[in-house]
Amino acid sequence: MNHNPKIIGASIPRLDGKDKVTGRALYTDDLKFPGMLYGALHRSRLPHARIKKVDTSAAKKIKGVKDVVTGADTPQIKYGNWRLVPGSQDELPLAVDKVRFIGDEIAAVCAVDRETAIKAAEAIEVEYEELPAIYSVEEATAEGAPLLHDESPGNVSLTREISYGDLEGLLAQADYVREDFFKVHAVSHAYLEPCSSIAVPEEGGRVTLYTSTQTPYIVQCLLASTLDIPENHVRVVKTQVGGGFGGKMEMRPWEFAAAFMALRTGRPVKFTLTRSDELAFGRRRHPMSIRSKVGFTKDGKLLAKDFEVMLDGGAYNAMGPTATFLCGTFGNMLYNFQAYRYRGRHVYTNKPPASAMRGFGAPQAAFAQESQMNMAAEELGIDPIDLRLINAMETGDVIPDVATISSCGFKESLEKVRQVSGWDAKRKEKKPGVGLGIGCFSFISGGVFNWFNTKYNFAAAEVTVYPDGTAQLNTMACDIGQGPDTVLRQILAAELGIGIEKIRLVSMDTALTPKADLGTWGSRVTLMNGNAIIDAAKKIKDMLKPVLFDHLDLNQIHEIAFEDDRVLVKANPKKSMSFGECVYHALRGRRGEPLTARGYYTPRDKGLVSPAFSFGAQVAEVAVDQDTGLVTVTNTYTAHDCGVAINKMAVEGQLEGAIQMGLGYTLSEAFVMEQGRTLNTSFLDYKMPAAEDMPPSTYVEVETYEPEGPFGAKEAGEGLAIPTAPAIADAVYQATGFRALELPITPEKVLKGIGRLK
Amino acid sequence: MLLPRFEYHQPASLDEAVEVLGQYAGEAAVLAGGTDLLVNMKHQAMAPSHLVSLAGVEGLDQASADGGRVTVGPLMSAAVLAQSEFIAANAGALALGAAVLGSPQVRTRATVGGNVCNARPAADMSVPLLALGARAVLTGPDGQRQVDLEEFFVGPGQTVRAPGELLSALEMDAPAPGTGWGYQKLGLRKALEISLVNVAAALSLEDDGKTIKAARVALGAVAPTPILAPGAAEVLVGQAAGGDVFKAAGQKAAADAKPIDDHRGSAWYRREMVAVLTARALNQAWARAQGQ
Repeated sequence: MNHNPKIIGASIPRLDGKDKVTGRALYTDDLKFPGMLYGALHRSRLPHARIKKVDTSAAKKIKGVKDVVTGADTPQIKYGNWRLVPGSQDELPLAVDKVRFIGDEIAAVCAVDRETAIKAAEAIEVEYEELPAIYSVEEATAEGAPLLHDESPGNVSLTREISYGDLEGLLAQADYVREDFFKVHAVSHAYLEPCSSIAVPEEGGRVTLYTSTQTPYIVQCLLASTLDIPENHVRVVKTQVGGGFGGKMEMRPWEFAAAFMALRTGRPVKFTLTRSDELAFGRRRHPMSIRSKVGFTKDGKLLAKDFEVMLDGGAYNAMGPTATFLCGTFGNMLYNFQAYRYRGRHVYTNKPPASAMRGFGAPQAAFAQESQMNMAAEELGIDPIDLRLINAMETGDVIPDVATISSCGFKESLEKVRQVSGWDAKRKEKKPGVGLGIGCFSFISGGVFNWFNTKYNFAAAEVTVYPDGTAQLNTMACDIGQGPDTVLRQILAAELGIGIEKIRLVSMDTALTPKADLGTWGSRVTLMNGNAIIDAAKKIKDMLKPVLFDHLDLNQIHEIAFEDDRVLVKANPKKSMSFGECVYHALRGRRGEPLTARGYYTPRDKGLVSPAFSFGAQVAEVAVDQDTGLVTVTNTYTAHDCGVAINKMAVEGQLEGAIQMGLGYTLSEAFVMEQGRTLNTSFLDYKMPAAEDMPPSTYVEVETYEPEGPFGAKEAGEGLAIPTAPAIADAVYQATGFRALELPITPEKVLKGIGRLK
Repeated sequence: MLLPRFEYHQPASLDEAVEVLGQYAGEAAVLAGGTDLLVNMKHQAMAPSHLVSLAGVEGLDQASADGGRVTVGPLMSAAVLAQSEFIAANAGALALGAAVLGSPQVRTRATVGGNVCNARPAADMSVPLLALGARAVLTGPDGQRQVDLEEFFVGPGQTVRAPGELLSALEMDAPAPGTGWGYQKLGLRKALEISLVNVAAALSLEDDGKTIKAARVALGAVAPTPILAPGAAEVLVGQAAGGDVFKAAGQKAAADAKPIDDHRGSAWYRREMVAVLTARALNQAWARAQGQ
């Protein structure tokens, strides 16, 4: 199964790593084109207002300004990633009639340098009619609340409901029922590279966009539709991207403005955001208000769950509809129970839009679910790990209307994390101020849903092999720092039996790489693109195998293997030729037609959600300063089933990064907002944990083999971002007796919670 | 982001520096480590048209002791101060504060003179210097003057330093035998953190090793400038050192604090933390005063 262990499962450092750490890697803002102009945006200063007039005359008069555009100049076509549901597409690149958050883009300028562009953007005057604004889901859904979008009564843009089993009956039968309310807050993706885009005008009214994105194909399609030009007139090239985490998976107003003004001026136009723009106006993780009611038998069997979530979506849908959908799915992952009801509502407020962020609804749902499991365990008198083992999903379990779990290492993860964390002994030994807690997770390996309504396969790869023994991989797969430029080459190298250094990669250029790819989100890349690559590589191998049969006069019962840059007879490895020689002969036989093959992957007959699910459990150990309320995470232990890890070092990197993000989400990161305005717009005041804050981390791999995954692999990118918050919250409870039902767990809340302060 | 335009001067002596500064008084800023100045200039919070670098002036990056007086050069970096045995022995609170300022990268650049002249309410070196009873030595066109640090700070970012003056040294009395120091910083991060509250304490014991002879407690982030907590010092002097009297001093310090609510924390929490951190800083100082 796990063939070629030198490549699959190895710890191979990132092939792009050296360029990145030495500063040679080119990000979008590093690029310059002759005659390039610099763009700047004029953003709304009010959280909610009607635009009465936009006066650009002063801006246009400034020397060096080459173009100024407002919504009125544009085609005014709304966009959004849910093309299948046009009513959900609620955003305009530049506002026309209304603004709905502080930072909503109203106008754009371009000029010969950045300073002039900023000056011109500031010189634009907007006359507003101010409207009452709302900042929470509770206010937004109250009777008589002002409406952000006329089409969405009650400010609810989307409702998702799931219902199966006899919920009321089972809750009535249950020996133990509890209902809890949880609140989680917004945090920033805080990718290290602020967004940057350059549009270059091309002949025939075409445009090339170099941009920091995780979904180039989606940007291509939506840019074409908002510019009202054919899709094939837009070429999107992804440069190196310094992180995305879900924050770069939509078309953005500056991408539109760059392209629109490039076409008008005939000159390249660049926009680069600042950190302060990102923190003040950028996408963020959804705050949620969650109600969860669960019923158990006295032996700890979970019978039914009633799960209700309101997502604070901010001013527009962004990826909120998908998060609303997935929250319902994540609400019934991990454990088996007979009845489930989910009601998720996506609510508009006058704040910067929330969107996808690492975990896509799961960290929020899991904070509620896993905290509630810990609370129930205590009251049922059952160890929290035992309670989970009683209810845990296993391979072959069916989630109604969702999926059949084709591989599941959840129980093994629970057992392993119990062992490596010293759980049994440490939980018995009660020390004030010190605690151990647990949180678990499951995540999708890519989505089956197709709300973007692509007409193409979900993933594609083109492989060409050459007589010098090398290969070229053309793929739209998007490396935004998570590592597929390395991992996908490992997969191709393993399948073709050639060295990874033999593979040239051409990635993510919508004009040059095969159609199509939905991008980097939902932890889809390794599984989906990996499968497409294997499909292409198998076709290449089928072109090569006849060469051996012909040259060696082989009986057709033989099988051919590809290993160590050689093509060989499996039953008699001495009979072989080099990979390059084999390609040479095949090329001759094809009278010069290159050996190129395309492979594709689209999940089929894999339910409604995902072709495969990862699982895992994490234990956090904390020390709480009972005088200051400060929580220090002293250790973490994680057991993780990501199927076969293609690159162990990359998986460990994901874990470290996820713990860093989890610490921030749980303890220190938050937007400080006042009347729709963000006050902490620098990393000095937005408290992302730093290197010195990282606790030691123990990691245990629980290897399963996922039949749908390439070489048995599943996701490892997002699931790990889920368990840290509930694990820390539980540890804080063990240490202090304070059970946090709201994030973040600040020192002030801890002191109030333990009754030290009122 | 680019720096706005400015003219750069690098005088070779203190006299020359004062002269250049006098020439452009009001339009010039002094460049030491640049960790605040250059950042503020990039953010367009400041736009001095002249920068007077002290990099060419010799002798400003040394510490010395002479006749009962300790002098700290304003160009000493936080990293050097944090590791200096001389500072640990003669002005220990400063070493403790310097060790937790910013991040390792910032500490190699940031200077004590810059930290003091920037006059931020939570400055990690200013608060310890206040507890050490330091004096700012200002050199200007009319010669030198000395200002007690508690008189030096006027408000956030504001000091009594005249535009043509240069902070040429920080001075303090050499510590009496039986003196120890403590420094406590509270924040959510272990690096790159502006304190929610920070407290520095200096404690001197009588020859009996128990009775408190002198004490100074300085508070950060609870007023427009770093401040002293005179109430805390008052309850300490003459008492036997120990947990209870330190707690009482903490309560007094909390009463001396004037915190406000801002996006970094609430006033009531800060006030409570002044009490906690003061007692801890005093315990830390006591342990050192006893030679532990």
